[in-house]
Amino acid sequence: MRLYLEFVRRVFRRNAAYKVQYFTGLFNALLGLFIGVAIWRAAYGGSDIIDGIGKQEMVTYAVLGVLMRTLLTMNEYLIDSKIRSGEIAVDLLKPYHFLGYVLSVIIGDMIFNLWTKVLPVLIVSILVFHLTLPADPTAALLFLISLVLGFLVLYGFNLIFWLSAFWFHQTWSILTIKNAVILLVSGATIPLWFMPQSLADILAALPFKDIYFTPLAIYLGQVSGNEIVKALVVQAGWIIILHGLAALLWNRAQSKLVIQGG
Amino acid sequence: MSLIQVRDVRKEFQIARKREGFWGSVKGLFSHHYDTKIAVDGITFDIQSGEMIGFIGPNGAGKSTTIKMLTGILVPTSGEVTVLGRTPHKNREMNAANLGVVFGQRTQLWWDLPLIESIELLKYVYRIPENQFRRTLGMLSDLLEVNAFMNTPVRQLSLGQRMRGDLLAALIHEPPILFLDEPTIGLDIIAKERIRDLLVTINRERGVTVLLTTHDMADIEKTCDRMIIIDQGSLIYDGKLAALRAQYGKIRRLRVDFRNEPRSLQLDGAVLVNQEGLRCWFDFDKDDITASQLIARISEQEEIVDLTIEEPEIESIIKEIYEASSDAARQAKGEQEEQVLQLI
Repeated sequence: MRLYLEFVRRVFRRNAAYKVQYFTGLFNALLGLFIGVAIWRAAYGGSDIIDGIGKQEMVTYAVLGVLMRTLLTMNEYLIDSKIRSGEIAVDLLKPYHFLGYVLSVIIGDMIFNLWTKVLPVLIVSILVFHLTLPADPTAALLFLISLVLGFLVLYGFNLIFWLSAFWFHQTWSILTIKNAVILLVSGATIPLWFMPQSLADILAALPFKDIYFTPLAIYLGQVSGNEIVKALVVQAGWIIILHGLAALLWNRAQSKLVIQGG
Repeated sequence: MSLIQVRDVRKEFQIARKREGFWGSVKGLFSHHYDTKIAVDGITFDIQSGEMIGFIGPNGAGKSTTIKMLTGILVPTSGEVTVLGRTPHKNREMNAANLGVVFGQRTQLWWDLPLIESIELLKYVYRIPENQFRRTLGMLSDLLEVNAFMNTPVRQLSLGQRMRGDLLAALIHEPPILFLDEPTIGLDIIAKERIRDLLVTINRERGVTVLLTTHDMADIEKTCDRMIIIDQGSLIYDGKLAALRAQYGKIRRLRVDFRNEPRSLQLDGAVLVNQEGLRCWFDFDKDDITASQLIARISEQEEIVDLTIEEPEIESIIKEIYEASSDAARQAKGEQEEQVLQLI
């Protein structure tokens, strides 16, 4: 365990070495914030309420969407580049779990994002957009739980795509498509309640909504009581399925590498 | 028992066959045709504790495949590999604790962080007790002279410094075996010398068994007693460097500067290979004629102003061996094809 904490620490510090990348990332997040809010304000026009969702609520949704996306920005090419450079051999030669290392890198990046990008953008949002706060501490806590589960759903989903590099060698195109799909149907930009009913029904059966939409709906109090528990259980279920698949894929990848030599 | 045993090891790869043209590539996505490529074709050798061995061969000869089987990253198709009495791929993590590995073209150091950060991380990776870690670190950093740049980010180090940092990282858990894959690649002549001296010290004073692959024959000459040469997956030489020289390097080249334009020289046992004005080059076999005999014969006929005798570089000996082995392989292949034709 100590080893993985040491990984996280180093990844955090490595991020700090790239100042230009940091400032462009921060600028990007701020830009996303203002654009997201502007679009929804324009969409609402003169009306204060659409489909039972208030304008201020929707602004809060957009702001939180940007914050979550900033937080959950992951290094998509970690495994891809290790395979292509052959560096994966060096990792396999070390007595640690490679996937534990990958998770440590992602968490290290996330902690860096949290302190240096999410916090400043959050402060700007509160000052400029008067963010709606959660109704009570319980709601805030449930949101945080759902947020962590949402991260794990996204991470499991991503891991499956990242590990595909063992077979495809080039993952840029499929990762780009994957990210576009997530952006559209996970609730990261458009809440599911504004989707056509038929599409919303399909999306309800898929794991995408469990990344962004579920935590955000809980924050805004759109889910209540038993429904919250149900939503959390669904998230947990997808985590088990996606991570199980990823583990299966990793075993296949390892034996492919060891028997076939990449 | 030997530290490392390799017994009749074979490694085949299945390589997906590439098809021609657009439709070929589309078909390739759905159905697979594999070609079998033999990377290592039944090699056997033993390495004793404390040896320092040069492991050489042309590109694609099967060197890194062999090294990867020794580390346990690859499983042999057949045959047996044993390192410290264990099968590497069945005990990869345990085997890893006994190995230090340096790939000259890569680094295991964290690029953006000070060198010490990568080294301290290895303390946790190998679970090295704190006082043992401090002791080893102290000894190794004095030996490798890395103290001056211990707190410099790795990306700011020169290639020679980085290589010393990589050696430190490979040795910090005090492995009895060190694998080096082209450790001097890209280094300037002084940095090369320094790495070679360090490798010799690590081998002699710390008793680490070293297996070194390289394309720079000077690396081998200056560090290794024993040399293993493989080509096209087969072992073609395993023995002392000196014996190799004696076996292959019998031809000497004599360069002579004459006072006057030489007339046709009558020389038994030597061949005129080149002439530029008053300067001539002769090749001779030192078993047929001694240098002094040859010089005596020449000076009987012409007046010599200056001369030198060149011993063949180890490189040209190796080149001769590679060429002989690929000729043999080509011949074997030709015969096979002939047989096939006869069958038709």
